[in-house]
Formats: sequence, C-alpha cells, structure tokens
Amino acid sequence: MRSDGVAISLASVSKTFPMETGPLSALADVSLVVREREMVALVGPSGCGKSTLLRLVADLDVPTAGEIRVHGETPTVARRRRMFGVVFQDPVLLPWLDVLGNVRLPLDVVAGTPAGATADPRALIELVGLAQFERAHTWQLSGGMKQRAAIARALVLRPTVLLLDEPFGALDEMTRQRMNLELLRIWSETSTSALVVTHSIAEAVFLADRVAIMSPRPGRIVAEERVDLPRPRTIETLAAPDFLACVGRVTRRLFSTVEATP
Amino acid sequence: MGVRAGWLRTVIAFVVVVAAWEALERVVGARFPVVPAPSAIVAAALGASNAIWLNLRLTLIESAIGLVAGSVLGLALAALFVAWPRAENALYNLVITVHSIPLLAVAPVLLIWFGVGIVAPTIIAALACFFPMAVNATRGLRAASAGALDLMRALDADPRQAFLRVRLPASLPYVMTALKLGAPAAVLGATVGEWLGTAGIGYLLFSSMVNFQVPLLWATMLIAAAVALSGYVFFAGLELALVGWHARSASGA
Repeated sequence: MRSDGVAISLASVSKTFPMETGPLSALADVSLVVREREMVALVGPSGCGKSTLLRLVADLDVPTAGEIRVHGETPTVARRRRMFGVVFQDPVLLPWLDVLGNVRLPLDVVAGTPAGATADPRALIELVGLAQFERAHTWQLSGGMKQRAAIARALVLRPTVLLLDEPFGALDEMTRQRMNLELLRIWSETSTSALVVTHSIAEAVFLADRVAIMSPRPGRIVAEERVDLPRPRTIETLAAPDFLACVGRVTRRLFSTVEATP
Repeated sequence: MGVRAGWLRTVIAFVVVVAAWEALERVVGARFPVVPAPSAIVAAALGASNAIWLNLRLTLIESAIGLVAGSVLGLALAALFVAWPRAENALYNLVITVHSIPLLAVAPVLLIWFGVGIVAPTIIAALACFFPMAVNATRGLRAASAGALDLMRALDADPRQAFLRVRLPASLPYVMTALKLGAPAAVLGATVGEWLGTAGIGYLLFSSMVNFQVPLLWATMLIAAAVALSGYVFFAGLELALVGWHARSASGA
C-alpha cells in the first residue's frame, strides 16, 4: 500500500455506455484526488454521472478510459481486499435477516478466508445508535434506521475507504440533517477516507473537507472548493456565516456550469 | 384474536350448513336421492372405513412421490432457465404445450405404457405440480434485487455464497407458493390417474359412481377434498414459518 497520503486517485477517467440509440458518454476526463482521512463530497446536477463515478471506484463497473487507484491499487484489487465500505441510497438490507444478521453479513461472507482486521458488529450497532434494535427486522425500521444499519454493515470489515452514494437521499430534511451529524460522528471514530456523492449542496459543504463540482453529462470535475469550517461540525455550523458563504460559492459555481452548457 | 374469531365463525358457519342440509334432507330428501344427508354420508364412510383407508393410503403415497418428483424437476428446469437464458427461449414453449395437455387425456396413454398400478397416477401427480414450480421458481431465482447482488460483489462473495445468501432466500417465497399450489394439484393428478385403474381414491370415486353408492361417493369426494386442503394448509403453515418475512416486508417496508 502506497503511503503518500492518497486514498483515491482518478486520472482522466471516462465512461461510455453502449446504448441502442448510440454510445452514451457518462463521464469525460474526470480527475480527482481524495487524501487519507479526508472526506470529499461530489455534487452535480442529476444525470451528471456522479453515481457512475462511485461505481467505477468501487469496481462495480469498469472505466472506458483513464486510471483509478485506491491506495495505489486497482479498484479490483481494492475490492478483493475489502478496502471499501459502500453505502447506497437504497440501504439494501436483507429482509430475512435481523439487524445483527445484516451487519454481520460481511463477516459471514469472508469467514474462512484470510481477512484483515474486523470490527465487532454489536459495537458498531451501538455506535450507529441501534443498540435496542439488534433483533429487529427491516419492516420494523424507519428509513433513517435502515441507513444506520447499512453504515454499520459498511464499517464491519474496517474499510480504509468509505463510498457513499446519496445515502440520505430518500429521507426527509430533518432526518437527513440528523443523519449528517451522525455520519460525521461515526466517521470521526474511524480513520477512513470518504467520498460522498450528493445532490444537496448544503449537505456536501456540511460534511466535507472539499467539495468537487461536476458538470452536466458528460460529467467532468469543473471546480473544487475547500471547506475551511472547523470540526466537529454541529447544528450551529449550519447557521454560521462561513458555512453559508461556502454554500453560496458552491451554488454559484454549480449554476454557472449548468448555464454554460446548452 | 382476530384470527381465532375468524376460525370460530368458519366453524359455526360449517355447523349451520350441515344442520340445515340434514334438516332439508329429512324434509324433501325422497325427491332428491342423489344428495344424501350428512348422517348418511358419515354412516357410509364409517361402514367402508377400511376400504376408504386402503385406497386413501395409496393415493397419498402417489401424491407425495408425485409432488416431490414434480417439484424437483420444476426446480431443476428453473435453475436451468436462469443459468442459461437461451434454454429458456428454446424450451419455454415446449413446457407450455406439455402443460396444456389435459391430465385426463394423458391418463389413458400412461396406462397403456405402464399398465394399471401406482406408476401412472404418480406421473400424473408429478405433471400436475411440475408447471407451477417451474414458473414460480424461475421467477423466484430472478427475484434477488440488483442491489443485493451488487452488495455480494462488493464483498467479493463467490457465486456459491451469492447463491446461498441472496438468491436462495429470495426465491424461497416463490417456491413455497408453488408447493402450496402443487400439493392439492398432486392429489388431483393422482386421483385422475386412478380413475381408470383398480385402486386409490380415484378408483373408489368411479366405482361408487357406477354402483350408485351415492353416500359413499359423497364421502369419498369430501375426504379427497379434505386431503387436498390439508396439503395446502400444511404448506401454507410452512410458508408462514419460513418466509413470513416476505409478506411483512412487502407491506411494511
């Protein structure tokens, strides 16, 4: 594993999908770096390819061009070594398992193979605030609770990289803000780097150290904004002038890229 | 409490119907000899209990073997279809054609091939429950969500793990549905197969009909229905125990 402090690097990554109507260019020449212990948020208009980008990093799909490295390794090697913890917008909890069973799932899958360090599923369930719900099943959980379980599951193999694709997109605004605080609290207990895809500018600025702004399709990174807000971030941060100014800057950049495209 | 109240209502309704039937029979029975009173049916059943039991046992054996054989074959075909979609395209129409042949029409052919005995009814029983299982299991094996399979890939699970942990549990509700439908279908198939034979519930139905032993005919018919229903209830209970999560998550989540 390379130790130059770079967790994820994308260099001139492109992705084209062959469709019946002709090739669809989802990503064009994307370059981005996420450093160790850094949280980077990816914002962009709908359809700009941010989820595709995340899937390429997670080795759930292959780039058409360009290079992706995760701690110096290819995404496939990183996935095989279980370096990733992935959280999707749909928590994808298995309904025939209870919360403990779902969080334990990665442990059960890797059982018998030489695996790295693992975390205690019960401790993680407690960390995400679901201690009383170990035996609950998916239909007994609210949307926010399901995502917490999904986050716990993503952490159980002690990943070095967290990938989150609009994790709170299906939740209402208040739950969403609470979950953002929870996510930051949980993340601070780990030493992972994180790449968060979101279409909420406020969420991006609240969570991240840096916000990368994508253009509409074919997506490319058009700008990056540093977020110099102190951690830990709290509810108060949401009203801080620095926060609002940063949100304003990101919003202006985002709108200028959208308007620039015909 | 609601479930128990429902059962009570069913029992009460049943008792009322039987009592009314009996009363009606006593009053106008002489004019409708083909509808016997419940008391006459029970008397016939008790009088022929030995014969009924011997024939019933045979039908049960044929149904059970047919259910297992038909379900296993249905599952195997479903697994084939899911693993090789080309096979599905090629064979699906053939499967539907075979299924469209009425069971009663297949019986004479099988009787000529295998003679009178246990084989022909067992095969028909298997045919009766094969199609529901093939169709449902195919759907079931494809029921695993893309998200769940992505999760397996993200965990670098090998195909065996992905199958055991995701595909199989996801398909279980559909398999249980097929068994629930298949059990009474197998009983029906076995009975149809015995129609032209010399033993079994089907034979008993036919012989009591031609000998105009009407109460016995009714008794046999009701017993056959009860057997088919118990098969359904058994698998419905199993379904609740094994895949209760499916119904609850569909409505709740």
